[in-house]
Amino acid sequence: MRSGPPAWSKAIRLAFRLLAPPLLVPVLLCADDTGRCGVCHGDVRVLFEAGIHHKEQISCVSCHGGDEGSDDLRAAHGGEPSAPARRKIPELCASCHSDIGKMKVYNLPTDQYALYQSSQHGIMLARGNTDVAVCTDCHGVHDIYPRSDPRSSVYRSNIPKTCARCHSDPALIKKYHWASDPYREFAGSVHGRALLEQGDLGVPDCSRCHGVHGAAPPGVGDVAKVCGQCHGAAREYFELSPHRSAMAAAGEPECASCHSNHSTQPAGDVLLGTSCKGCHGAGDPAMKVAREIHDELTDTRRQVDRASGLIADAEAVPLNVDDYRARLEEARSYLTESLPAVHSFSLAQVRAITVRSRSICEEIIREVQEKLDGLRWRKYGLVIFWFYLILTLVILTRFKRGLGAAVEKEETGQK
Amino acid sequence: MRLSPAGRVLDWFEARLNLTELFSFLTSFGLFIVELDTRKPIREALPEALKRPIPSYARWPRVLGILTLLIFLFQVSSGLLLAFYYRPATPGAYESVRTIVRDVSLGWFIHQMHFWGSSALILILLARILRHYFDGLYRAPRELLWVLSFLLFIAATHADFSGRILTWESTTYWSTTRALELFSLLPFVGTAFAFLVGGSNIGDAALTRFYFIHIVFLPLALLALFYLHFLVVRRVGLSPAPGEAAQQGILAYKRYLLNLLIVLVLVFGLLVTLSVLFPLPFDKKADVLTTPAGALPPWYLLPAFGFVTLTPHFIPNPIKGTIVLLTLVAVTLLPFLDRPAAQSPTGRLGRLVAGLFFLLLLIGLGLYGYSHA
Repeated sequence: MRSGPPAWSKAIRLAFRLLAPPLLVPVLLCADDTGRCGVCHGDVRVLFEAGIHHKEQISCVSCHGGDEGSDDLRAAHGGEPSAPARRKIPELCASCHSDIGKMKVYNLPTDQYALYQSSQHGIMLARGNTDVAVCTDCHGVHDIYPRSDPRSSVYRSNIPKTCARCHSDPALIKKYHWASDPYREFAGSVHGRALLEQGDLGVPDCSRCHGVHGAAPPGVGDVAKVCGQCHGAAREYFELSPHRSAMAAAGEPECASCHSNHSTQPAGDVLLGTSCKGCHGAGDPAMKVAREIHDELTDTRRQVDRASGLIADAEAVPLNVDDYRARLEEARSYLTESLPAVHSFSLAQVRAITVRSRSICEEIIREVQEKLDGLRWRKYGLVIFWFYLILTLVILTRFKRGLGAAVEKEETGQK
Repeated sequence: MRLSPAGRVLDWFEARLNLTELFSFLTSFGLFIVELDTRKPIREALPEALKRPIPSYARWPRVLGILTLLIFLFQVSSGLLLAFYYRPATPGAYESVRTIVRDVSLGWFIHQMHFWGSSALILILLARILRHYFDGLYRAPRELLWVLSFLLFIAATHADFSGRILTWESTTYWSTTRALELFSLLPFVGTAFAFLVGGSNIGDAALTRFYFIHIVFLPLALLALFYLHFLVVRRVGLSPAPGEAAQQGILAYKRYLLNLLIVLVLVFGLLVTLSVLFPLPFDKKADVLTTPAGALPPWYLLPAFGFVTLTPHFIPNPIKGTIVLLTLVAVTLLPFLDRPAAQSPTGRLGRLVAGLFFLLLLIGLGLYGYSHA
């Protein structure tokens, strides 16, 4: 009689011994990639491995310290607290990001830390206020992406939401007595709608006006400079206008006085009547100038519309008005060019440009109207045509009557 | 007997060519109503034919037939002029039509006349069919006349239909698309049209095929139908009006020609006036991806369109298509379906009521289709 474990049990044990080492290999390989940290911190590992730092071979210990190769809990953590203190974060990031040697290969700037220290965030952090934003609040903690990546919290169209996490937080608004909710205002503005709804990356996000790492609100006297980065022509005209010195003296924030800061609306002729009232009384001569400029722009726009309508009429006939289409675009360009000139608040300056647009429109209207009037010759032709037609009919009827007489004659002849 | 120089030339040709046969063929498109004896020389055959008594031609509806032929010939000549500039290819068709209506001198006029002429042709053919129906002229021996008239009508609508797409404007493009959707419901016919379109939507292939059909196939078909039609008229004679005395040939025939000329001048005047005062607007270029709202099939398809939209959705489309097709076949074969009882006075009333009912039904369906695009 046989004793000991049965043969099938032996076979299983042998198979396990043979298969175990190859099964362990992937586990060890994974552990190699981010050290052993991921063995316990699996959820963080998933986030981290998607980010840019993992791709650039930055490991957990670069920020957290400790020994990533160790299986021993105490040795692995290196006796340090696991997360860096909030106050220490900018310094920690700067240890690499302010290192010219390290950043050179990525062509990244190294002045962010210096800028941050000069910002409102940095100054308050230095005073021990940890409510302010540190690097990780905007860039993310483990899942950090380059700013060109749409997943990144600092991608152009994601920036307003990132800033809003603090600046539209009701608790913080209440605590620091902020006047408004900037995100709500911005989202409804011409800039916000273009950026958030249409995905137009050409319009400014928060950082374009407030600075990136050196974030601070632009002060009175600097607003025009900030807006002028994009609206260069408007700024040039504004600098020449009487508003420049008057607003500086009154402490008014230049562009924002009429256009508002976050809830900027599309600039239109309507502002010329309404926004002035805040400073100028009804009998003020300045109001007359505003009205004149307003009328000048309205008249020009009406002329452009009229020319455009006539061209459309002619094309529907159709008449060849391709050349006038090109001229109309020129007139439109002059009209667009005249809009920044409004900031000079000089009728002469505005008129110098609108007069070109109007004169082109007048030429188009005159010549296209002539072409359209030429169509009435078709109707004159029709009248002449009917004259000859009726003449022909009269002759034919007379001839027919004669023929009838001939028939009768023949019939009577037969009788 | 001494012959005049013209007579001698005639004899010279007569010895080499059957002139009577040639004259008979050339005038068999409606210009000469009586059959000629083609075995005799023309000098004898013609006076003989003219002496035969034929009904008076003074009443106007009798010139409708020849009028359709003349409008058809006018369509051919204006179409030839348009073909000098037209390019049947998708980049180019619209632009070439724009050149015709915009840049070529009087091109717009020819274009408009071609459009209105086509509508006039269909309307006059329709008027003829109605007249034949209400006067009961489709009965023996004129059954073939009815069938051929109706086939002429069908061919003329197809000629109009195949011409619309050629301009490649947004309205005509989508109007044709709507019409093709309608055709696709018809059994057999739908398959044929699907082949013609040559794809899921109207493109280059369809344009080339429609162009060929428009300028070669349908004109030849129409010409053949006209020829057959007037051959039948020659054999069975013009329809007599009740109580009308037959008159001697030549003078009555001259009056017929004069009446024809008067109506022709009037119709030409009407076409010119319509072209100048109500020109068809020239739309923007067709975009395969943008369907304009309210695209309608051509007006002569509106009753069928109305029928398909009005009938409930649970009726399968092939059945709707079969009903439309069977109606067309029934109208074509009307002379063979009409019972002899219809010739009695009560039968005549029945025909009148049935005809008016069918006509009003068509108009009603057409209006419904027009308002439910």
